[in-house]
Amino acid sequence: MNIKYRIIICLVVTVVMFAGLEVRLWNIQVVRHSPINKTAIKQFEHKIFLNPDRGKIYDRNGEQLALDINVDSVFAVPSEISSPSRTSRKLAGILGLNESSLAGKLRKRSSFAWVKRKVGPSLSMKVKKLGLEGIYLLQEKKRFYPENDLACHIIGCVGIDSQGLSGIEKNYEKFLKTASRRAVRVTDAFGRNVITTNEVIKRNKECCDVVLTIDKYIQHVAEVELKKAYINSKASRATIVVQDPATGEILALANYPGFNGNKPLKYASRFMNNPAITNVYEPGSTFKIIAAAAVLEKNMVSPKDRFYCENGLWVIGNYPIRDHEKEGWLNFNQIIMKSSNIGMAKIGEKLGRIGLYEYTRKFGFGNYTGIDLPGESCGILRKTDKWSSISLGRISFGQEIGVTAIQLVSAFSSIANKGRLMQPRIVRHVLDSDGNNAREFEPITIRRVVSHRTVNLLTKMLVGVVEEGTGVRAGVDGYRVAGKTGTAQKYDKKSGAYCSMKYTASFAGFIPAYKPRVTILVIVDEPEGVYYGGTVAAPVFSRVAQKIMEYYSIPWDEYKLATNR
Amino acid sequence: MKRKNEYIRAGIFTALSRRIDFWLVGAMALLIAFSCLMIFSAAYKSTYEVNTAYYARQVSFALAGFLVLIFLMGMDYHLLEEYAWLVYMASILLLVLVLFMGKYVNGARSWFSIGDFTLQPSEFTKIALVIMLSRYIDRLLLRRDLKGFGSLAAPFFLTLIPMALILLQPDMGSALMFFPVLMGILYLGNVGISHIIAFLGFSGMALGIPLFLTYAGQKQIQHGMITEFFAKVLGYFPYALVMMAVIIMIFYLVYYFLVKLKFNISIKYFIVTSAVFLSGMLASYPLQLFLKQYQKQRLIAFINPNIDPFGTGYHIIQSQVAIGSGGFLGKGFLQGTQGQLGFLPVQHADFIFSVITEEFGFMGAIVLSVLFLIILLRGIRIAVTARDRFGSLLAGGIVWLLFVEIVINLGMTMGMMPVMGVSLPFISYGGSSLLSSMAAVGILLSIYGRRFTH
Repeated sequence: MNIKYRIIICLVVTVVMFAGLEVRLWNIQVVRHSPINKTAIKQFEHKIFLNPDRGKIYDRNGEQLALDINVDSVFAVPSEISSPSRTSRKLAGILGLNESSLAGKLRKRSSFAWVKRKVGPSLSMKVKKLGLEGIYLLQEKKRFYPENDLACHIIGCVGIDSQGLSGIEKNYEKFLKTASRRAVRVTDAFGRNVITTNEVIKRNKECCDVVLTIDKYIQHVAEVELKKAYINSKASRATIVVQDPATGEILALANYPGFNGNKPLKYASRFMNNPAITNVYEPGSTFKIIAAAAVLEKNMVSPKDRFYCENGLWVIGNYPIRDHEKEGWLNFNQIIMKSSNIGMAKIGEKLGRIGLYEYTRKFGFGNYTGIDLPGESCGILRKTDKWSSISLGRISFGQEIGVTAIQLVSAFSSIANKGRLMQPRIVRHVLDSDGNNAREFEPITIRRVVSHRTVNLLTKMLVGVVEEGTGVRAGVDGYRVAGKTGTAQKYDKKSGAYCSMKYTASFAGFIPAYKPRVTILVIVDEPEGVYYGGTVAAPVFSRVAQKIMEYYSIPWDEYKLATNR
Repeated sequence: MKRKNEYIRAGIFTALSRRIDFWLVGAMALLIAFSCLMIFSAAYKSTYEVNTAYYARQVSFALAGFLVLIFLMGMDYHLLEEYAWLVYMASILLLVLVLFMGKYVNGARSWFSIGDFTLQPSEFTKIALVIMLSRYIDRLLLRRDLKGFGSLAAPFFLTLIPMALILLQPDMGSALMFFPVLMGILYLGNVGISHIIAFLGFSGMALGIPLFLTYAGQKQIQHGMITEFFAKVLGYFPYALVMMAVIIMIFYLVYYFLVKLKFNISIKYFIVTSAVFLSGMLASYPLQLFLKQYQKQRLIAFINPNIDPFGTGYHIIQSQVAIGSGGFLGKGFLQGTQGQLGFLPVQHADFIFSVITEEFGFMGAIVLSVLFLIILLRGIRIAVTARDRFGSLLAGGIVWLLFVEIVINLGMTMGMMPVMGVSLPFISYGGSSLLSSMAAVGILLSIYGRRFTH
């Protein structure tokens, strides 16, 4: 029958058409799958780059000084919000935002806008409770400093995008940045949020956490005492550095005033600087140990040699040199003990320009110490051919030279460390993500500066300073202390002369004198009223040193109370 | 005893399988179950337009459909032959009524709204037309009276009436569906191939010229020289007349030379070819005015989605994105993104195949195609083995209807055919479509069960 014949043709047509459809389907689904899939993903997936995760910062004993915590960020999907003004009124009140600018953000027909990033848990709970349409929370990492302003100048702080702005946070950025993060938002065809996930893109397994040389307890003690001195003396600034002379490790470093890394935006940028390494100042009498060490090392002067101190006023050319007490003949020991400028200038004359310059350089002045913190200054030390007729004398007692606190503390540590200058260090090691050492930093000896004999002689002189000289207030019960006071007139750039009102009071020393464990430098800038280093800075040294000795449980040198009582 | 029981049971199964095509019913049931799952999936994540109530509604329609199927299976299909006029007139009446009482959905009055449910009469008209045409051609063949063009006028008008009514709704896609249905049944009814070719030529000219002019008028597409030339000629009626005259002259010259070369060709072929060309071209101009610009754009958008980038073109692109992103194995059940997140509109209805292939990939599409093929091939077998010619015609027509719907829907989702709003039988969401498809299967089963002459 003809109809059935035609039906069979229909069968062939059916099969052929289906085969054709399957070929087309194979082309779309298998051959062109990956470009089409990219198009599809582009339609529903939106990526937001988030702040990278940062590693922790520990003190030398494993106490956390900086870490990441989870906080919520609030974002809006404006296309879901039916009443921007009502939503913004409710949100602005809770989050403390400008209502009209928020409403403007929400009125834009975009599919994403940050409302406020990194809000605290109580606020995010409140936002959650409101249950506003089109308002979502996304978990983010926020940098948190559990001790607030403790060691702020060492640790530094991070910016809004978690990038290191200062301190270790900046210098160790590439170690601390442990994982890049992004959020992936899935939206439907109308730009409404369906789901938001937070994922790690790239993890840095090699490095993660940074362990500092800082001891949290010593840092705390130093900061407390420094703050007291700052307030009592109404100073403009105060700095303290505590160093382990044997290894060069910085145990504590603080400047007052500091800042709170949790709220960096509340502070002006000048609070973020670390004056201990960036600020160059004229050290005054604490610098006398350089010339003293040089003449002792060169055997030019012995501690018993006597110099005439001109009754407190010695004029070289047109420039007068003054002592704060009128003295006649003093031996070298007494010159250091009583801190006679005239005596020291005369010793400097003996040493000569070349000798003084050489030893100043040897002690590390005029050079970067290489401490691993950003913004270090190398100080000011002019070449000898630029020196004037009076420069030799002045540099001998610490004028006409600019140093940083870290340079000076290192120089004192080299005396304490039997004449070897160590590089000051702030990081002990970097840990990988499993907590193993990824990188260790060994103590670095820069050079031997002076001999043991010189060290012994100089230490005896410095002990004399604390026992009967200008630094008696630095004494600590039961221990011998070696140190030197400094009271430097500040140079006024405007008038081009030293001004009689502004001083830098300082004290540098180490304890126990003959088996030193710590070197401490205290600088109080522009104290009001009493301005002597021995009165303003030395007591800080005494109290900090005493606490450290207790903390380290170091046996007494002798059964004797300090003379400062 | 035990043995006897087994024997009886086997006997019951054999007796049933002689009356019921289990392959056909099984494939259909699988497709419907799959459909319900996919409608659930299409509404799964979406917060817009589609909700899970659709899934429950489809299940209840499927149950109702089974009742219709059983009823039609039990009924002798010769009753349909007897009451073909009644069925046909009833469907025409519904199409007229829907123009006055129908509910506007997307700018067309195609639906009756009964409480929570909606019915689309055009879906049932297709089957009524197949029944009517089968009966008519069967009677003609009985009188061996299918030679001249005159006998084709009646089936043509029988098709044209519902087509025009549906175009008035307006639902161009459904209306255009009637044309391949008519062609298919004419072909099955042993109408001369030359008649069908002439018919195809006429309608090709009538519909092709407006579509070509629309395509050539798209400024965003770079056109070749030839396209530009024909667009200019066809766009201006006097030029078109000149061109027609030239074509007829060429035809005549060819005929003249063939006769001179002693080929014995009747002049009838020359006249018929010329007449088809002429009438097709003349008919295209009123059609061009009748069809609206957006309707013409919809029909050709599959050639280049840029023609209608925010309407049909968007559908075409998104459908292919959904299909292509599925890949070989698919994203997994309920894991689709394009359908569920609303990038692919009407994902539960006309474009459900894209959702399926997105979630089940190429493998899922193969399984689906195999199930469809089973239905179509078993349907063809039923048409071949039917007891009488009316049964063959009816079964063949129904299979052809299902085939056309399937191919157009799949071709549409893959960007191979115009977007005509044709739903995928058994799969797409929609009660009317499911009911009419299941009714079609019921008729097939009725023919199958009565294939033996008693």
